[in-house]
Amino acid sequence: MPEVHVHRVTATASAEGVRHALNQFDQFSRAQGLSDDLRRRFLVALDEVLSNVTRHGGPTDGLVQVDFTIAGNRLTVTVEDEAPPFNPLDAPQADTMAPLEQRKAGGVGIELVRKLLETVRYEHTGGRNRLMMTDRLSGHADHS
Amino acid sequence: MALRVRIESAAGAPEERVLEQTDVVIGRIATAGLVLSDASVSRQHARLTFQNDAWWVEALSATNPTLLNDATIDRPHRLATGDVLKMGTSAVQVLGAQEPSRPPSAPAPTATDDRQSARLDLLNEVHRALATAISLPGLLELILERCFSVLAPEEGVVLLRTPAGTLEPASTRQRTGPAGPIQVSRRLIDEVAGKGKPALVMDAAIDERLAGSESMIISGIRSVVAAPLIDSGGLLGLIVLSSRAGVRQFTQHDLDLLVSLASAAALRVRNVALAEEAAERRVLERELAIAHDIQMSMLPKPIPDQPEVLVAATLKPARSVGGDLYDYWMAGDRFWFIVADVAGKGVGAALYMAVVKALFRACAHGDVPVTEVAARMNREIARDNDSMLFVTAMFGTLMLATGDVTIVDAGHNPAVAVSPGGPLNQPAIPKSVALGVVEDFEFTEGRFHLAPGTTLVLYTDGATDARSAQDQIFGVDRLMAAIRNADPTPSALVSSVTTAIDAFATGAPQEDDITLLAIKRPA
Amino acid sequence: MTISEAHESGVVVVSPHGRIDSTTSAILERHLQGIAAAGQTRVVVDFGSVDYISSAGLRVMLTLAKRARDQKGRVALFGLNDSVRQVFELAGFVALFTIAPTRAEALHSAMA
Repeated sequence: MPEVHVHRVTATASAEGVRHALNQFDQFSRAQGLSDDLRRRFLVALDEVLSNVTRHGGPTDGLVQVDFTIAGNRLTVTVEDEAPPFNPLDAPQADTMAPLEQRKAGGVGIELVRKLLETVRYEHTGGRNRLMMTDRLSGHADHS
Repeated sequence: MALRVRIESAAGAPEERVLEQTDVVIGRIATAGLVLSDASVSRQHARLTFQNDAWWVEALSATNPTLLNDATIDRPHRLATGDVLKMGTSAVQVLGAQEPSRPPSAPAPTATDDRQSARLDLLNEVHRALATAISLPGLLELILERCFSVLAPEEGVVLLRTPAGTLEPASTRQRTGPAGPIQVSRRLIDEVAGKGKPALVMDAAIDERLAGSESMIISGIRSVVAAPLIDSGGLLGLIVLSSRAGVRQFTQHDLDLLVSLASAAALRVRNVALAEEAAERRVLERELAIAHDIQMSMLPKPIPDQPEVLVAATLKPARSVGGDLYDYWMAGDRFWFIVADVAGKGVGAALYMAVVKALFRACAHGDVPVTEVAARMNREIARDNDSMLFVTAMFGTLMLATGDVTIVDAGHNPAVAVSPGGPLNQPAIPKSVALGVVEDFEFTEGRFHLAPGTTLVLYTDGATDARSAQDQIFGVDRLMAAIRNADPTPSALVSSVTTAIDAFATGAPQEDDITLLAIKRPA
Repeated sequence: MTISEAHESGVVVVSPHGRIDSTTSAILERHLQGIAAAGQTRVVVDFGSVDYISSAGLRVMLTLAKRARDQKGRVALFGLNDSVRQVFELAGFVALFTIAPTRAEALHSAMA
């Protein structure tokens, strides 16, 4: 049976909440003995996703749930909230009504999330936004 | 039997009332059946009950006496027409008993069988009535109309579950006056929704389920009956009916009827909601299909083979529409081309890509240097660049007579040149920043010669990043191999490379837009 | 995040310690603004103690690069760990900056 470790962090969708979640992940990954490379890649991606949720998602007193799950050789970080449908990778979605001169498609941050991690999936189910980021603990695939 | 009384209170003018309840508390408390706003009257002073075919009065206060015809009573007394009750400085005179204007509660069933069949009849009737509704608001109004017809409340509200998971009023009805906002106890809602069980509240003042729920006590709500709208798919909402003091008191039988009504209603609500959702999805799908067609039609038509250049291309968006782009055209002595990729996918990226394409066409004309085109496009895209928009692109010109290529690499995947039977080589092109990031970046161009018989292949990272069902990526090596092994014409090359990617990725969802552009200088 | 600063041969060497992300990038930004306000246009950023940098941090670096261009200053970076380097590469920022292999070479580049 592959071992499964789950650690849950609940934070507010605010700058303080982002800081808390990132600190928690840092501690968790060090405690689990994850490589620096993996830890850093996830931190970059998590910072991007949480910042987008905070900036463009639901109200700032909304709660965001971040789960770190290690199952077998994979680490998955899941970010969930109960705001109206919002995919952090589509940010800034709210501005599609603005004139086209303004930057409304993906930015550098989104590119980083996509490129740094093996799998990134978004879904909106049961009234919740869920973003799942997965990568291998060891022997990770080429990320060129 | 209802009781007609005249009330003389220090507070106001004499008033006649008909008491339809069979159990009426008289007192100062707001939830009393007969409220006397008289400071000398106790909160619960006396009680009138209809029992054994007669009306009775009993005193409730030990310290504040109730007088019946000027004599203090210490035990229940029968009432007769003309009797006068005195409480504090108020008086209540019995004018007579009369047939109630309508039953205080639904007619008492004579037998359980009768009750069951009455419920079934009600269910059938409700089903038929609700089946006529085709929109959700219309259905909810019909549901309340049925509730009012069967159960005669003063107020009714249907609450529905929102996508966020909360329960919000979706339709209201009042016996008199226009439908408006109705006070409903949040605690009652949470209890009924939480347990999925109906609730019958007889007297708000003493029902501990509503203790602390100020809203209902203050507005004098007396009798409430609530049932969940629930089916195998889960909780859809609630129906809450209520009546104020002295008007209507719900019973267990009423609750049973409401539960029957709610079960018939739940089915219809589910069906109508699903139908509306499906209709919305169909509209969305149609719009996306139209958007896809528009985006595909924006791509350049295949140009007939020219003596100096052969071209083939493909673009396969991951969703209906995507953020990849290719474009090309003949412009006298040169051939302009571009492959670009907006970070992100879907509608936002596609909209932006339309902008980039238009910009390229506007900037790239005549003999404008490629670096100049890059600078102009970049300046436009980079204006107001808070989000550090990221558009990678590879674009430039092929001089038809000489085969000289001038090209700018704005953070894009490396271009590759292939000759039949010969090696692949990556022309040395200096890398610039992606478009849109730095407003006044100085782009550098690369120059190389495309020999006759050589094909220049440009692509986006959807090609290299394609994922197999076993989670492996196609990668640069496999892409180069597919290019090398392909037949030497551009259309055959594009076709066989696409086939190779598709075969590799069978069974896995396409995660990114895939674009290939092949430009050959005939031998 | 703490930032230490050294001056050498007319160049300011800025050394952030820790992470440069949405929670700390404003600190670095203010520090760099202060350096610019003091009229110093030759800047070396020492990434030796930087754990990682996210897009929020890249934004600050971008502002630094633009300011250097506007003021005809010089910027050089060194000491990037693999993760920081990868982020710069993915964002295409390697074309924006001089990334030197050693402190000495970074200084040399900034003095040019």
